[in-house]
Amino acid sequence: MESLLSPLLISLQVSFATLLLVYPPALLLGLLLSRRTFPGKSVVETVSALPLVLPPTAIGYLLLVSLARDGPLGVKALGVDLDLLLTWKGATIAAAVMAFPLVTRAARVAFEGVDPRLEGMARTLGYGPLRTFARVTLPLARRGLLAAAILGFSRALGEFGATVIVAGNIPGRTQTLALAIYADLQSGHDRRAMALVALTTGLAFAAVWIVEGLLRPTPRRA
Amino acid sequence: MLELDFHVPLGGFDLRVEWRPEATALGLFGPSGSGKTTALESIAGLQPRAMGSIRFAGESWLDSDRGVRWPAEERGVGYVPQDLRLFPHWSVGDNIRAGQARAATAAVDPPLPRVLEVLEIGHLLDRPIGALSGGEQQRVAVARALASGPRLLLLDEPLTGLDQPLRRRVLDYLLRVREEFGVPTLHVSHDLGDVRLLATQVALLKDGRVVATGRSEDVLESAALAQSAREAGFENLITATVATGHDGWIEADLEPGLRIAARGEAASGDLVTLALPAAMVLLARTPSTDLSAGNRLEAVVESVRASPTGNGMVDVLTRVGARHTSIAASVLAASVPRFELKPGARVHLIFAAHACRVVADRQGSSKV
Repeated sequence: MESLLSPLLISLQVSFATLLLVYPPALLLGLLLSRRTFPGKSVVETVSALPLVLPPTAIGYLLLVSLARDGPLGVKALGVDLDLLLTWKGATIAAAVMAFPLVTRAARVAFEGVDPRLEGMARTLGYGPLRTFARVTLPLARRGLLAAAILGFSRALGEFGATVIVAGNIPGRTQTLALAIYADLQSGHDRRAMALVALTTGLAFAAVWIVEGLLRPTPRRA
Repeated sequence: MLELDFHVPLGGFDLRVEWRPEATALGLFGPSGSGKTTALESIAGLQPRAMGSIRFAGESWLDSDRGVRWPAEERGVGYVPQDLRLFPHWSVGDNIRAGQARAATAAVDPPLPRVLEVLEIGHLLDRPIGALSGGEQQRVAVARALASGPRLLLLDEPLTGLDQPLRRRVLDYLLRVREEFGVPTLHVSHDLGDVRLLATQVALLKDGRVVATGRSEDVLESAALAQSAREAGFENLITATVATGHDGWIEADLEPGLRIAARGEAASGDLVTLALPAAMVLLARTPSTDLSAGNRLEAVVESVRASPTGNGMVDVLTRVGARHTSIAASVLAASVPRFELKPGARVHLIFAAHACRVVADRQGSSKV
């Protein structure tokens, strides 16, 4: 079982880290896209959605090139070594890029579900913009925002293509569940691969089940 | 108290409100689609497209020339929108207490227990909003606005949907709030009765324009007149410049050289709107001089059509003077052949000065 525990822990570590990294900017962008019109909005929408449609290996390759020593995010350009390639942090970066559009979209839908007239009402009652956001917008969008978080977490959990390019497939260091299944399949450890698949399926089932529950309309409003 | 001079471009429709009422019980009256709600939201600070100036109690809430635009939270209004906008994630009590933080610092603070008592919602405080009936939600929205210690109450048809006894009680309380605490109120309605009860000074809004302002009894009488006339399909509203005015009578010019006498108060130089019921206009083929009616105007018939009321009357639309001012007359169908009433025919319009009255003072050049 020890050999199952390592990819599970690495997967959970990468997924939680991904969520922490992605959630704040994705929420901000989702809010911006749901509430504001600005020049270049459609460009921002398109660029932020690209990872949804590009092959993950293409994203992985772009990240690899960017993070290489002489890339735009490499040690020569920044003057400091981020030490991301072939580490769990690299896996997190890869998963974050892949999860970002999904979380942004879910957050945008969640904010669009909040009637801006309720926010205006709060303003007339003396609430400033921040207080209105905290007391009215966030609570009303909370179910959709929670669903966005779980979607982002799940996306990170299942990430393979970009991760394997940026972080490699190093057992005990960067080998997540998805990578371990592939490695076991390649090396003929079918029983272990099946156990990992079962573990992953359990996690995915729980995540999807919670999201569906969150997004179901409440009977109270019916 | 309230000084409004703003406009809101609304894509194919331009709301323009110019009104400087002095009273504290104000009504904005008009048919649906006339721009009443947009006007209220502009005052509340919820209409980012509003341009011009809005001043209240000496404070400039909006002055787009100088880049002044107070956010809604600083204006201190208590707003009851027509769709109520109760916070669905809070209980009734939380909704009502939403503006209490401001009430604590506001000059006016209607005591919450009194508000709950009069609106009969004390027993609802712990309920979720979704569990309330329509009438209960309405009362909660009024309570929320009152409990926020507003300096100006903006009510958008808040009594619609209340049953008669409750409506009466809520009206009484709104009146008492006004008297006890001096909360100025702007009440928007398409219901003449509501406005008559709550407002001492009103503006009549039509197609995005203030077409009449003044004391509520004057404007509403003319509005009621206009409403009944509209139902009959006919009415005259004529713009004129006052030449002389004294003792409740005026003489005003439709254009230079076309002077008529009318009933009402206005000063020389004022631009006024005069209401003249079409049924009060007589037609003659010759300029009769032996009638008591003081107003005689030469006109050209533009159209003749059966009255939509179908009571044997005919609506005759005529044009008067070089500016082609339109004046309608309602005559018996039998008169049409006798007077040879057809487009292009020349007629004389005759009406008594007391049939024509001032309904709106547009604050002409002499008053500004």
